[in-house]
Amino acid sequence: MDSNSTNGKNLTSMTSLQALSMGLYRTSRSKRIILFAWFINVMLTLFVVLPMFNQLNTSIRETVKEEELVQHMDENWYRTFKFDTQNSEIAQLLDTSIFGAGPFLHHFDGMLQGKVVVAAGNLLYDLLTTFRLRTSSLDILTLLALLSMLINTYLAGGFISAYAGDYPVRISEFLMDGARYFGRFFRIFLIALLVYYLLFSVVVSTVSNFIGMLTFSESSEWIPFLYYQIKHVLVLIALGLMMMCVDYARIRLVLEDRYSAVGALGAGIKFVFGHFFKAALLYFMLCLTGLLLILACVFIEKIFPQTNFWTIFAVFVLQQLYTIGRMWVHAGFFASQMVFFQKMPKRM
Amino acid sequence: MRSEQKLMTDNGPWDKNLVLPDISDRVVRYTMDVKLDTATNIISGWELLEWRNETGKPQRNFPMHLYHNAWKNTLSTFAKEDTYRSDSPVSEKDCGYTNITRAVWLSPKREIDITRSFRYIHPDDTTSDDQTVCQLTTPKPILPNTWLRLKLEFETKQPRPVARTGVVRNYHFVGQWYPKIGVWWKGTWNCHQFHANTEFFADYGMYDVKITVPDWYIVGACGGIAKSITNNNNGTATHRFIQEDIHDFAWVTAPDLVPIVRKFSHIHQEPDERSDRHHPLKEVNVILLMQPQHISVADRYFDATFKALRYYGEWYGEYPYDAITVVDPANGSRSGGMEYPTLFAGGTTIFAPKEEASPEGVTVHEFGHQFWYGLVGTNEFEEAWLDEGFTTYSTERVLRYAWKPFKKVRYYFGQWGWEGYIGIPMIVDEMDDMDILAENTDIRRRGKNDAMMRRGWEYNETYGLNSYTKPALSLIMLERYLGEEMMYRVMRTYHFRYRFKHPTSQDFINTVNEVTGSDMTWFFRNTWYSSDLFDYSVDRITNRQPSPEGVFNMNGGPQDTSKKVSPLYKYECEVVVKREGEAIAPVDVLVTFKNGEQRRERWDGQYRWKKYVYPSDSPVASVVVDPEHKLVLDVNWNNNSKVVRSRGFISMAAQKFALKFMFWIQNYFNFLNYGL
Repeated sequence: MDSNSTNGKNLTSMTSLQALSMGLYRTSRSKRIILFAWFINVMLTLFVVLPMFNQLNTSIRETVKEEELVQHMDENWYRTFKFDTQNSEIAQLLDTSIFGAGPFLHHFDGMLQGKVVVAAGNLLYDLLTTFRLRTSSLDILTLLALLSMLINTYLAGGFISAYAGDYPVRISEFLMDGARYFGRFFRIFLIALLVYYLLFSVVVSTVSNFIGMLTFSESSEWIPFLYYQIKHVLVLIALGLMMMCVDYARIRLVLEDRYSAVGALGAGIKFVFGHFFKAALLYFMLCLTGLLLILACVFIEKIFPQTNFWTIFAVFVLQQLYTIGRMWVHAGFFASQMVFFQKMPKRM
Repeated sequence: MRSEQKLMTDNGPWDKNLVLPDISDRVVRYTMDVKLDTATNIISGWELLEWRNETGKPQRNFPMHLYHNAWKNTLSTFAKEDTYRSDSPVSEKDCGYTNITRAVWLSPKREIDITRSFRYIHPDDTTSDDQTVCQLTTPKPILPNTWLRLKLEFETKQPRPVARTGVVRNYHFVGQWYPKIGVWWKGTWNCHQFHANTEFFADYGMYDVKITVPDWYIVGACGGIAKSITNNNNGTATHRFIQEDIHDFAWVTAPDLVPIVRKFSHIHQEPDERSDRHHPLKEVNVILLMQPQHISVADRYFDATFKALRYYGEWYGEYPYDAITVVDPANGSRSGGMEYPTLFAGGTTIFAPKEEASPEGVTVHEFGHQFWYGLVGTNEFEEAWLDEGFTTYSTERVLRYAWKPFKKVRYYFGQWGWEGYIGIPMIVDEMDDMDILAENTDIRRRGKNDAMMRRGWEYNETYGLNSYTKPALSLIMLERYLGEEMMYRVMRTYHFRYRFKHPTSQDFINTVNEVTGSDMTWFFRNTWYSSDLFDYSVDRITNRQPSPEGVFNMNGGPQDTSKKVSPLYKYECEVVVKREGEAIAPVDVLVTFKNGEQRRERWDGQYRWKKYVYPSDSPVASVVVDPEHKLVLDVNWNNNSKVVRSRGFISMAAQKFALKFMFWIQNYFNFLNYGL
């Protein structure tokens, strides 16, 4: 191995790592806007959490099960509750995956299956082909997810503008920047949604069917398991690539004051593939940061028994700290990639 | 009978008259010699069927099951009930059949070919398409107490796996594969067509079966360890199995099965075993036929089988055979969770964590059928609950006694496979699994569709509910009403009395009435014979503070309003409990006062509601109907209690679940935004 290649390798790592650390440093000057984003997130959840709490409280408060249920979820109560509230779409969302690592695994699995994208895509497809909006196929979770995506699209404009400059921004500036770029970011959002829809409804579903056929007569369940995991890794890579391209498209759109969403997306793709390894490494390190946060949250939550008010409250605080942490990592993606983009030589 | 097992009563041990029969009536004898052609998946050979005429009258017509004909095409009764192969076009490889190619009556004087007497019959419906029951007729009647001897040459083609039968790759699970004579029962032949949900009823007898397969194939079969294995020096080997006192015969073969044999022994009393219930049990060879990739699960299969052997033996009576064969089914064979005498198939995946009851649940359940189906040969066609329901009840008991509660497990990042979910497990620590009591929601949802006491194919989409869930819950309920000790006596008496026999529901009810010494007809009328639902609730609690005021005093004079009259009690408490369902059972009502005092009322549960009034110095704090949860068929347990709370009381459990739900939603937003 010659010294140049060694140096080159170190330089690559350092550059990504430097971008990461500088990016995270930049996020430290945007604490208020991160807290603001968390506040929006909490408000959005309250749309379903408050009715759910109301239903739960009505079901439990006057029964002798109350104390028992604090200690231990009882399947008999759970199933009766679901039956009693079968006309309430929100109450039907109560699921055993609310416990332990469930919230992470359940939704990560849903992400890899493209649940929201496919549901939203199907809705739009129906609308375009039959000129009818089939609201029955749009459940409240998908609706909330779409709303959340739109809000994130709005906030992304604020975040990227905030990290584009070297000075701290106020909430009002943050909101104004969000509004300024929303239209253009929304067009990128629509294009990305279309790509995701095609990915999940065509590519992933075809691959899943193919795996089913290929492993139909396998004697060991290890083989289909392995194929499914490979599929998931490939889906993750595809998602990661798409997310990177979208992120850099939005960064370029802000920094270069572009107006064409398609052009910005093309520029984002060019940048990603022009600096693929460094960009991918940076992205991977950011994902790893998020993963470490998840592991820490799961571990700490597991050691709390959650059988009295204070432990329940403590875990809730921990979970909110985690959520803020996730927001911070999300901001870190914008900031680090912004730094990375700004520091890299422009070849295009 | 063993002296140490007795519970003494005034007249001696309660079970002094209980004796297990050593052998069955042995009405039939099957001697078979068959060969499996692994290229065509066809089993061909002959059987000598010997049947003793115990009917009390001469017989000429003999109905026979030809189960594999259910898979000939989509016209069979089975296919119509099961939407068989509706998912894909039917090819020759998919289908199966059993053809009797020659039938010879070995009369005492000579052999007579009766092949031409063969015809299909349809005992259950008028369809002419079903071919799962045929009839052979002898030229002369078989006289009472003499033997019918038929030599049948037949050919059975294995289908693509369906209903726990068939071939996948080179794994053959071979059940319901030979011409099997019906049962003379209640003065007539009982030989039902093969239905999608029900298939078992046969006479006890002896099986002597020779099976020829390629010599590198492993064979497991009813009867346990092969009596002989003969290498035919032509690439095949013949395995011979002999077993007495069983009513069916199934086998499995594949080249890569891994046989492991361990011996079950239960001679001495275990520390957790009651001395009055300790019975030294017969040693049993447990033969486990494992899929190579599942070897790591072998210990769990053995553990579950040993525990089942112990508890079933301890409660109901000793397992009488020398061996039990446990088959770990091949992936894609659809043969998991199936029972035959002395052989059953379990099923699990390599991904099941030890917290999940897999393979424990299915192993204990299918082993349980050795007792409720195998040893007590009920008519599964007509009263499926007597095997599935009794087995489900017993499974729940064994799992509860032998293990700490299993947990709910959820799987992610995969897909449903043949024997379970192929993915990464997550244990839900907060919730126990196998809680059959929670199944009452299904009864609430569909329980009114049917009464339980119907034939297996005559339910309105409630076969599972009425064959597994409701009978199992009703037996748990019976146990809670009678007490564990009395239920032990009932079940043990029933098993002892009807081992190797064909009892009915009425036989069980009679046993209950006899052993308990009380008429429990009301119980069965409201559970087994009715589609009514149980639902008792607390309607309201009222704590009034009396303030005597009025125009007249107690003597009829004017009330002196200047004097304060003290009431005798501070509170007039009223409790109203209600019967919301149509089914009726007596229930206890537990009233707890704020000062800790408790009153227990016995309500016959007959009328729609009942009011209890308590003058008391302390207000009622809570009321629970059926506090011990004896009435497990109560379809809504959440309304069985009421607690007097302050107006602003907020449930901590509701807070806990709501906060967790909030975090769940927050993560939903985090993960499902795809960076947008």
